[in-house]
Amino acid sequence: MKDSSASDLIQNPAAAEPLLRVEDLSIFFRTATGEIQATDSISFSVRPGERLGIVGESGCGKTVTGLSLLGLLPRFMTRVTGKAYFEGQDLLSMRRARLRRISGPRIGMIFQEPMRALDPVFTVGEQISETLRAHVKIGKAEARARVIDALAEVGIPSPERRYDDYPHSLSGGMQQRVMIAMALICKPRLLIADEPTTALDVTVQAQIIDLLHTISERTGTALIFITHDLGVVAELCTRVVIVYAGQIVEDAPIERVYRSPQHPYTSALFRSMPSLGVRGVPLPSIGGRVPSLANMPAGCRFRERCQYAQPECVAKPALDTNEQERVRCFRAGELTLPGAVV
Amino acid sequence: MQGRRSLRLIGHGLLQAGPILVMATFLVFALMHLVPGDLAFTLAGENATRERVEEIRSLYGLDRPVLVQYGSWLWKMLHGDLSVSLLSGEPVLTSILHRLPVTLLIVSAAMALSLLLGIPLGILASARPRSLIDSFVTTFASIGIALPSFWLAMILVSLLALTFQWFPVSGMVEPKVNLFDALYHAFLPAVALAASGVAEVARQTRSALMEVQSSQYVRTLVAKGLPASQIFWKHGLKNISVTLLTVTGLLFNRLLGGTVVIEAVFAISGMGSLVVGAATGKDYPVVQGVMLTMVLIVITINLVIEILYALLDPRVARQ
Repeated sequence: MKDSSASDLIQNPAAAEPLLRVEDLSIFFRTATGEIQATDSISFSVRPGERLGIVGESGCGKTVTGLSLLGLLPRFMTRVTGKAYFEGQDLLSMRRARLRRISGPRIGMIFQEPMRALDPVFTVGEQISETLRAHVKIGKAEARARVIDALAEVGIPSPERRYDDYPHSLSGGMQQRVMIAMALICKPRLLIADEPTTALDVTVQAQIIDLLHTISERTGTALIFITHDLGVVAELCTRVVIVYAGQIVEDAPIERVYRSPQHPYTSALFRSMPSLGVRGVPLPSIGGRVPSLANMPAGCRFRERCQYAQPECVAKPALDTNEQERVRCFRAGELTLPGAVV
Repeated sequence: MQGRRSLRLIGHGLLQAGPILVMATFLVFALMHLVPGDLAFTLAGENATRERVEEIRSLYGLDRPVLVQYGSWLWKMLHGDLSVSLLSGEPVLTSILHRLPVTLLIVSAAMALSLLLGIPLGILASARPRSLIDSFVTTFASIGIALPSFWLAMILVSLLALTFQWFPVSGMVEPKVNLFDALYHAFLPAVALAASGVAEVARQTRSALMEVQSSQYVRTLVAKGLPASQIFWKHGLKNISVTLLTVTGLLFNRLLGGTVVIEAVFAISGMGSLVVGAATGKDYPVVQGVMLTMVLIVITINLVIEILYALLDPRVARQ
């Protein structure tokens, strides 16, 4: 058991084995009036080198799903059930001390607001260096050299000087680059990115997406990219999971979802994306609103907003699996839904 | 680079302290002129002849314009001439230098107690929010802040000094003569003074730490796999140090003011009892001298705090 990953490789035909396999992940919030279920049996897997987009509206449970994987939800306010196997070990039932040897060195994470995700009173160099030194036996000077290399790698100009800068003196884009350098300093196999471009300017957004794409391609780091932006997912990801009201409604390779979405919600998301060249036509939006967590309808959760809804939709649709694709709709296959405007 | 930055900060702080110093000294000076009635009459005492009053007026320069008076007063102060007491004739500077160490000893002891008890209590409370320890600390903090120090002082005297006779009831030993004995005498006054300080420090430490714990950067630190001890001792403490520094500065000033009452309760001849005696005896030069000393101490402390503040928090340094 000394080197479990090596023995796993011999026992299983390794490449087919997913890096991360999430099974029936449900998250509950404890409130004064009782528990509220935020996500309902979320299951997905990420293969080595794969770039998975998790897409949904605010409050659909995508961010808490990401946080729960590394035990980052406040414990006295939340309860998490299900399994999340990373390289065969369940992250969710793991003790904190053991999780520390995975969270950081094996799985990196970046967040929505880099300004608030960095400690304001330490230099960015020190914050990256301490991450490296927490997991690798390495001298301070050597760590500094590695950090400067890492800063250069994420496209930060004159990294030797930026090493001693405090987060507040960098721009949002530079801060997010620092976060990426920090998350990748131990060369993890998986990077979880929780809306990393939402707080940034559009031009900077594109640069960060490019950077993540390049790094993932070059190093083979798998990526979970959590966002509400389908457009970004199209540029970056190989596969996408669409989440609505705490449930997965569709999961498929990116081209398939774009070409022919199977779930009406996915299709509606595409239609409400602004596109260049279309003028004078109001941007379609999805009527109604997401049901509140405390008051989830039984049956299909999208039913009330769905233009294709039928009487049968009052029953709960299962997440049907068909080879590499999943969809949660009674009418999947029967409907031909419009995809992205090409 | 760090050294040059500190120098610049100190220079900046001194520049800021300058105008404050001028205004504060002017207020201390003006205090004497805010006394109702003619100052010369008051100084000359009852039953003084008209000639005597005029003599006093020119002796103290009260017939000259106010700004000129202020200028010459300030000039004298800068040369260490704080005038003489109207009652005892003793130079004001001498009596201040005689009593200042006693007061500073009590304030420092109270300050040390506040920090040494308050910070650990705050840390304990924040470690387990809503636990028994937390409720205890929170309750204690509310009581400590609400209790008047003179009342607590009297309770301490009656219990620990009169009943158990563990501590002296009153009086003081000069720190120069016997520091240990002086500390022994200063203990009860310091405890009475520190109660609100401990409470305040504990409360602020607790809330600052809770804020840090729920911050997004601590979430990052957890995500990158740092040990909890490192998150707390390295990142937590440095982040709350700014709050602690602010509290320390404010507290010091408040403790300094608090000695006026505490010294009266314990019959200690420090700055507080000096100014109380002088005020009741209308010994204006002494009142002025004490005020000036206190003001200088407070301004100095604030300056030091300001500099430390900028050294601890890189965001302050840039402004």
